[in-house]
Amino acid sequence: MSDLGTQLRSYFDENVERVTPEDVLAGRHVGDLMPEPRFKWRASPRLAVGLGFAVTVLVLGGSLGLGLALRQPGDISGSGRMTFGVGDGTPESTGWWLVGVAAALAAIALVFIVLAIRSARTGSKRNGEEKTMSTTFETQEVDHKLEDAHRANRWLIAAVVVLSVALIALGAWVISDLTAASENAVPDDVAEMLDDYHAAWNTGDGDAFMLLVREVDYEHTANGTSHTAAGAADIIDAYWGPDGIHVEHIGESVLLGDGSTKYVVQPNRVFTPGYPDGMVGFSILKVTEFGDSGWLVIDHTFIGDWIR
Amino acid sequence: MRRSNDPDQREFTRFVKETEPRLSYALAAAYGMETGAEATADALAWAWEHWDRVKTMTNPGGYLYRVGQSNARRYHRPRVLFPSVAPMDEPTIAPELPNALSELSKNQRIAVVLIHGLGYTEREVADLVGMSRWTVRTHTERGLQKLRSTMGVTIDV
Repeated sequence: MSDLGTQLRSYFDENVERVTPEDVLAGRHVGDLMPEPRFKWRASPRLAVGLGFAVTVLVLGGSLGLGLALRQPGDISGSGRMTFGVGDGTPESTGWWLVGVAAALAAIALVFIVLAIRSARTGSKRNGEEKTMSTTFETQEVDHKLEDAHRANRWLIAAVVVLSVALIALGAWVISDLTAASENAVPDDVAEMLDDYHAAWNTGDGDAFMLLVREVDYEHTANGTSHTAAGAADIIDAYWGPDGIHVEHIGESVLLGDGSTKYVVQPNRVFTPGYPDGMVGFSILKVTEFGDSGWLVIDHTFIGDWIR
Repeated sequence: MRRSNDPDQREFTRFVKETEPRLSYALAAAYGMETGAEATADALAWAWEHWDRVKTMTNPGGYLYRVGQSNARRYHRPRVLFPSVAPMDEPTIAPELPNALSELSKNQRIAVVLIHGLGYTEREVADLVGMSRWTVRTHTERGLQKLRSTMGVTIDV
């Protein structure tokens, strides 16, 4: 028995059906019916970076979006510090910049993916195709367009489409989440009553104020100093003195509790006109629906600290 | 439609004589004798049909190998890739060889047949199949090892 190399040569010499130039020249013109060679996808570092970026955007964006969705308005951070804004009365939000950051990263990822596709398309230059294209461009322009279409890797296109759809969905979800009414949103009728309540407070309108509280058990507590509704006049004396104490909403109110009695938590700034700073904190208003009188305040507690 | 008798034809004839052997053997090793022969014929027919392009390529063999690959994937795969050894060849070819070849991966077969059987260089095979020389060498070594193991060959005589 001969060596393995000789056996291989003999076996293939015996069995391979050879093709001669004459066979080809005399043969059918099958070339027109035959497909172009299939593009062989090769991993590209730029593609990997691009996909890595895209995945990062999705994971990071999804995580932040989920965090936003789970976060309650008026949240208090781990340090115990209140996180609502002070000054122009606009609540802080991390959601809108998230959309911008996600869009920017997605644009970068898209650039990388496009570069990767272009790089992959020119990968066939290993076989000298680029030279061919450059020398026969004018006469085979149509052919080249078809070749490009054949060569564009379907998986890359699918990846771009899937990532784009996912990104659009993520953006839509974040925007929808930011604009959708929270389940803890204060109902319109309660919000309206509280607006009237604070308006009466700010203007010192005692009559209007007493119509919006349940007089028998209304109690107001501000940083430990308490006044009861039995002495509504006391409240007026205490808080609506010569200068008056005004309340300004500085954040989104939250409704807590079930049934007819609920708690509304409002980030507020309490100040005296003419004195710029004042205090910031939370007003916790216990409200109840009381027959024909509608919603009434039965307890108002303010907890806050001086602005420094 | 192509011309019938011109310098291109002579040039193409020379090209086929030079390129066809390794193309035939590579495609036969990869896809079996029957499919390999059809793929080779189709690839060369395609080359003639697109000769203006093919003749300017720096690596037309590699390109045509890819054409053959594309066509081979469309063909019906025969159950037996490599026919049994003819009785008259048995003194020189081990009867286990066809089955042992079938046990190898496609790339291992190409590398073993072209390099170990037909004496092509690693560079020639790398250019043909679009791999690095290192990859071709690895396929050759592993393929030979597996081939010897399957055939029970310990020493090449």
